[in-house]
Amino acid sequence: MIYGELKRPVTFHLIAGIVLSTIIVSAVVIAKYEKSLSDTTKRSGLIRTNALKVEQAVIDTDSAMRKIDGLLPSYYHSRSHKEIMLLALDGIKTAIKGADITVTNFDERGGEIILPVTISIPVDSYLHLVSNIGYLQSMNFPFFAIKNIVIEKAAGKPSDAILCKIEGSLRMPAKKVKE
Amino acid sequence: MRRAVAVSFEGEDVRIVYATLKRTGIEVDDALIVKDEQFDHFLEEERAKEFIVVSSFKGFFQDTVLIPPTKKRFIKRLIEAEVKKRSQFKDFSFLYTISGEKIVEHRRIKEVSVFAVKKEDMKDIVDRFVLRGKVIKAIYPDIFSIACLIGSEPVPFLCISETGLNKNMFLIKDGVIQFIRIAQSAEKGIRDIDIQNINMTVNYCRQNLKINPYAVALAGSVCSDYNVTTGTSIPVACLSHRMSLTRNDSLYLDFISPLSAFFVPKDRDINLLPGEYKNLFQTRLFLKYSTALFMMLSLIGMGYTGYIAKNIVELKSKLNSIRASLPDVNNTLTIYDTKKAELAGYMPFITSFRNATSIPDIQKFLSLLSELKTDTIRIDHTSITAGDNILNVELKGSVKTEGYANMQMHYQKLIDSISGIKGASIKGHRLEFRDKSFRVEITYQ
Repeated sequence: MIYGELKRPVTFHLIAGIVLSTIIVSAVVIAKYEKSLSDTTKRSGLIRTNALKVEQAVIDTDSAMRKIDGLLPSYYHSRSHKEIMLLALDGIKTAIKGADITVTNFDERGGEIILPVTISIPVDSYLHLVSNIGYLQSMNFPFFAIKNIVIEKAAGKPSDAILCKIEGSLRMPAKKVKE
Repeated sequence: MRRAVAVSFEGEDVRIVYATLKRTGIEVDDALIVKDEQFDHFLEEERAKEFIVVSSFKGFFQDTVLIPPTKKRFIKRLIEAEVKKRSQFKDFSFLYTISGEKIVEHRRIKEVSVFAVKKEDMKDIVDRFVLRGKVIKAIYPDIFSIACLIGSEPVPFLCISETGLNKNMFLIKDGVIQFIRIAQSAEKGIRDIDIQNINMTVNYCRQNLKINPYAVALAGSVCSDYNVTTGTSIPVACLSHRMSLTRNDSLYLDFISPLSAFFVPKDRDINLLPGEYKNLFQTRLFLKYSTALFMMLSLIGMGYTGYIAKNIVELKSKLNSIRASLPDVNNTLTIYDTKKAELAGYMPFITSFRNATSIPDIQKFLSLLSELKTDTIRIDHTSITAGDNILNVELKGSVKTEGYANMQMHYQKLIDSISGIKGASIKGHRLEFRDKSFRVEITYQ
């Protein structure tokens, strides 16, 4: 039987085939494992980055809250809102000499307590006027929101007398901070 | 250009020729003769894998058979049946050539020249190669192989070659072997007794085959060993060939059988190798190459797997490092939620703060206004209205100068100065020549 001569090559062929099949299966399995491991590594990296971002956000939030606490007046928690507003109004009157301050009633809109204020300041120095407006704009708590400013000749006064009329409002949140 | 090895079994001797087949001819690299009993050892030592075999078969059947006209695919079966009937061979390989046609009893009959050899005769040769892992590309009968050197000459020749002491006489016409006769001889070369045999064969051809040989062509060693006292009835010549050989002529004469194997045209089917051996060699070759391919792919696969395994080790190391530096996520999220809830208590303040700071800096704008070139300009009225991230400003006043041109020039200077303020843009302005008054509308961001 001449085909008996094929026994050796067939055996080698089969062994080579089995080895190749095993290697292919191993390669496929190992490639899938590598992909899954790669995904896990990427996700773990993302989790670490996000966790660090969250930690930084906590630090930033804490810092922002401390800053806000620093902006609040020392008597914020011991006085009522209206008292705080009126104390601020007294502060304006003290800071701006000769100012004629007119207020109307307290109002509550959009979660804020509002006290409309009109301030008339005789302008003897432009520098003082600019400084006074700067003071009003820099008020931290309560805030002074300027609506309108008119600088013009004062009616019924000497011809060179100038008057600055500032319309605005004192504002603060209706709800207490940290409540 | 490729290397080839031809082996010719000639009685007790085996002649082997190593050659390089080139487009321009054949370059014989080596030629040797080994004894038949030493040939198996030679094969075991030989590094060449493929061989062309030429053999002088002792028992063969050669005849011209007649077959009726039939379809091409049945011709082989008809010839096989006819050979079986005439030769009493059971298992054999055969070659055939349709040499002509005859009209017998008003029927067109094909004349077929047949040469058949028992498979067991071939098996003895082929198994020697198979058992030693060698491949036989083809087995040619020596007569047919030598006949290929003559080609398709229309003139009939009686060709004489030598195997051992036997003289092979074959009549060839139009490239078709018409008749073969093996004549025994007492010694090598051509002697008077061989001349008698030749003359008898020529007569046989004339009388029985009705073919008159033109000449006697001596092929191989019989050419150089020609010692006779009588002559032949037809001219005698040595067979030469246009083959290009780099060795001398004696090589050509001594090794004509193996050399002729290199000159068998591709279209001449004189290969006697049985189909099952052809299949065996093809299957073995296929298995050899596919095993090599599998091994090569296995190596590539192993390389790839190794590469991935290396990546896995790196990824695992990276993952471990990430895990080691990963903060306590649950704790971080709990702290974050607590801080978020705490920040919610500050939101009203933040909203109020945003609303209050949403208007541009009025102090800065007023400072910039004071820097305007207003030597001859008097501003009587300034109105600033806060909008959403914008200030709408209106300036009213008059130009304090003589002459319209000067008035226009100073007014234009004012307008240019305002335009030069960063963030300010003039929305409209008007100068009244009648009373020198002006009005400028500005937006500031």
